[in-house]
Amino acid sequence: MSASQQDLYPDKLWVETPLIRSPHLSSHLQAEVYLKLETLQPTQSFKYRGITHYAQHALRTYGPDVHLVIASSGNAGIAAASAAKILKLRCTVFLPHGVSQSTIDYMRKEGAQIVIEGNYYLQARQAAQKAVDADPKAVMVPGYDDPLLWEGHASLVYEVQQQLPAGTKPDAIFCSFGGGGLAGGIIVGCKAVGWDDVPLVTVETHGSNCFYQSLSMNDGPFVGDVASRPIPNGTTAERNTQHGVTVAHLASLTSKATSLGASSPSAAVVKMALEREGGVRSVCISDEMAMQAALNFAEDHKMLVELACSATIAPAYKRNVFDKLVPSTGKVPTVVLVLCGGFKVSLDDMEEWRRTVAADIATGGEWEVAYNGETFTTPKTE
Amino acid sequence: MSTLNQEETLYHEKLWLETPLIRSIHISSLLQCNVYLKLDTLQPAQSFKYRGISHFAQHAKRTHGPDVHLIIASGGNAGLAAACAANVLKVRCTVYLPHGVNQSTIDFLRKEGAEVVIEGNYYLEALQGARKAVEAEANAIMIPAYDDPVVWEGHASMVYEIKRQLPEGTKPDAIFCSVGGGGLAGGIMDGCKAVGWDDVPLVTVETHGSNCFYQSLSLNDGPFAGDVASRPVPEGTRPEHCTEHNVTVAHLATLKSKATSLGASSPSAVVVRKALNRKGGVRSICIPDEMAMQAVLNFAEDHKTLVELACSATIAPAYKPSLFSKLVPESRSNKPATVVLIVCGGFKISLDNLEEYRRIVAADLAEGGDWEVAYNGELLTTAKAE
Repeated sequence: MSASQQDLYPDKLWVETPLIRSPHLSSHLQAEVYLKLETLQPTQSFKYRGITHYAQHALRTYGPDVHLVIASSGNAGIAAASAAKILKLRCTVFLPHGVSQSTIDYMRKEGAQIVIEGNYYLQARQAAQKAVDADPKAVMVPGYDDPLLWEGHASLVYEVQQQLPAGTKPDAIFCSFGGGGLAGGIIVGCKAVGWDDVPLVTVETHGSNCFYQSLSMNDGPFVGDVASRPIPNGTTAERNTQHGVTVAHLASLTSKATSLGASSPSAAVVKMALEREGGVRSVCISDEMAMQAALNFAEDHKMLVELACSATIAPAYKRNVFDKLVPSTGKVPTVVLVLCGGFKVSLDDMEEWRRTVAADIATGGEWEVAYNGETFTTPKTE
Repeated sequence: MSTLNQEETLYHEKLWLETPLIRSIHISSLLQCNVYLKLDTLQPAQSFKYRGISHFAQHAKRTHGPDVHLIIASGGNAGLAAACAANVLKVRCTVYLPHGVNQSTIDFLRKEGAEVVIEGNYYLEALQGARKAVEAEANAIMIPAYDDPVVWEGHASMVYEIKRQLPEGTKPDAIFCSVGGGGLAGGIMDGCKAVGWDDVPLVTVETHGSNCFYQSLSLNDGPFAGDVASRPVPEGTRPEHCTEHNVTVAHLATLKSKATSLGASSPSAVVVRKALNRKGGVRSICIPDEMAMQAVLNFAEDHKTLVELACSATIAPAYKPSLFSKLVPESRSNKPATVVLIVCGGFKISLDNLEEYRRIVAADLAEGGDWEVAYNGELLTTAKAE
């Protein structure tokens, strides 16, 4: 039996988002496909859950003078700014150069101070760290690697359990994986509601797949054994003794799904994924496949989502991929796609993706999909 | 009976969703108001129509039994709502469409299990086909598009939700909605009356090329400037006096707007009467298609949601601060106003449409000048550029 959400999160700032059944995907897959619409959080992404939770904890622990500092070129920064505004706390967001004006405007609308420093995220992160070190009232809001974040994100699982038809247990939950904050929250939430055995499908892109690469470095669901699985050029393996796992550090991220952009995942989340009863089904897809999914989703559901988000939906638009990830059991499966949301998508992006996908389809061939150490292909056209 | 009890009693078997009411940071900061969006885009069938139509369908099943055959003539959202409701209730549904309705609409209807009959070249011909079918079959019932109290009762549910969802004790300074035939407006007015909001101003939005409600108000004593006799009846419009409701309604010969989901050549006479009677009055406005198109584009960038023109018409005034302050003078006071925009939804919008709108708006802006907005019998202008 699941605990009452009201008791666990009495002062929550996030909203219970709709879980809607997609008639399009359900009929396409002969499944019951539900979409958890984190796009509808106040700052348009799931980050609002964990980050407001963290901010409230910071307020309780350090008092109303606490200064929230975060390095983020996107959704985490917006969430932190919004949380700080509601809780009447000071907030400074460190951004690298090149962040879009609409994102900066959004953070300003939420009352945050903005500092633009450095050309890459890591440099903005360093500047943020310096600011935290120099200010006794400052705390760094973590991006994805913190139990408080996971506790906040986990709330979405409680909601899903209440929102599905009574007594329904999903045959799989799909989510995107950047640094692992969302996946960590889903794993923690599943455990709490008795769903530790529910399969979790994590989706990344080929050019931003630190989690997939990390799983590859450990004994786990990947085929073969660790020794036989090569480490890609540019990746270093780092043993994390605290959690007893090896994590990958990627030298560069080449994907256009920039909101996934973590060069290494949370070691704790890698550990949780390897230990959970329902396991993890780690998938990597091409940017173009994510773009096509974003375009299809916009036509079907009238919503614009970032590539980091459409990556979650992409397998559902490809029958052969879906059938491998959720093998048929004879009964109609129920799957939940967690639409993580994100503000960083525009109509111009959609136009660019349309052109990119069309050009890619014109080159012929199929798209490669990596799944737990094996690769297969899926047709580019519908 | 308390409002909560009333809501429970009326809607305890409801098929529709309680949709989110979200505060728009983008529009709120633009207007220095608290602007809330009621996102009925998220209903099954993707529009508010699911409320009233599923309510009607349930009522029909209760009254006529499980063999009831629901029939509707619609090229769009009403048809889809009927199909979805019939699917859930496991009753038969046939949608009559005129030729020319696009394949994706037909596919969507079929996915929901409806039978589709394509008849006639215009909506009116499809409607005649539907009526004939209803007359010929004992089990068949026509689902009304907008002119029915049961449909309004279903739509009214959104007002109960809004009251609960706004910060405790908040009464809106205005509610904005689009008007096609008046079903949505009828539901909102009934809902407002039920929850003690009869005095809340209602701003109804149409387009110049599809404004049967505005023209109807003009034909009656009411909020319009001047008197009826001094207000000219546009060419192509035929006034018709409805004695039962003591109100004159306009019948428009043609509809020229691209906001085709508004497409009613005459409004519900009852809804016109309700609008004239209510305490909070009605502020009826008409905007150009281009202004609605610009709002579609802005809303897509701000809220990552695609809406039809018939829907963006509601949001368009909120993207024009000086026009907005004329429509909602309450917003000029020291205390920030609270405004609710009903985002009615609709599935007839595509990325191709948005590209087309972008081109049209750019060309229109290049011509210079301002956009004309009609408001309760007077003409205002608003700047085209942001």
